[in-house]
Amino acid sequence: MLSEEHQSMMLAYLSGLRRGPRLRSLEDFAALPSRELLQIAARVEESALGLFLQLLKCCGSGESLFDRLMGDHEEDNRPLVDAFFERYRRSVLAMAGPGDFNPLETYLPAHALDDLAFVQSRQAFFLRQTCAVINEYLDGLFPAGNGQKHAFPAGDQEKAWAYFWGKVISK
Amino acid sequence: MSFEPEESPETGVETEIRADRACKVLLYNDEEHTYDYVVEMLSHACGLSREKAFRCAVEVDLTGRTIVYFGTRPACKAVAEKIKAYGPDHRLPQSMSSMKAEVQGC
Repeated sequence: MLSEEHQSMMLAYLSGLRRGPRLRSLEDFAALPSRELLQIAARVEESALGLFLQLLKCCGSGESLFDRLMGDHEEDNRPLVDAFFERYRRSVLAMAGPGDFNPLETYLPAHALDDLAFVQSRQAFFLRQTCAVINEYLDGLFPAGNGQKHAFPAGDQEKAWAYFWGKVISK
Repeated sequence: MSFEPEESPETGVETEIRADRACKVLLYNDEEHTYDYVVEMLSHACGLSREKAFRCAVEVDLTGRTIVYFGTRPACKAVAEKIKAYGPDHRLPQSMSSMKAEVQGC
């Protein structure tokens, strides 16, 4: 939740973007009609869209606010709705694509393997990885020493997990 | 496509409810899962596009819940099971469980 100070700052920022009377309170903001809300959102800096959503959350009555973000489901508002969600999606979701890093090395690092409950909770995540990713991860964790590499074939994630889990609990 | 007539108790007007969309799966908000997780998980469990899944993520964040799937009871149960089996959000060390989902409306 945004603090009252941040709420005031956001309301002042949004008032500056609005072509109309100043927004003095959350109630003023919550009362904006759908089209105007989306027009203001279109002028909000991408980096501030998260705060814009936080401010909406502070208004309560989420369902009606979400409908307004959806342009009250009116066709005329659709371009504004699509533009808002596209911008917000770009600003919120991680941009890294497959191949940029090994997700297992990042989210299941060696130092976390002492916590067996944590490791076990990541089983589904492990099983969703390709065997290429799993093999690379296992090579880093359990180097064979003689230059051999792990080579679980595609589709053998369950076997790879059983091998990995066996190694972890025997540490 | 089959249809089942249904009478509204309030209006007495007979409406048609598609039998293959009679049930729905509701997803509930919590503080243990990121937008990335919700988008990824809904793409996997419900076959939603990233764009549609993202709107569901915003709705669940704003309102506390969102409908992520319509279908027959068995289909909805299968989707809810997939959501339950997806596991915690690997991006958050404190995340230790899947999101909560339930089948409603049939």
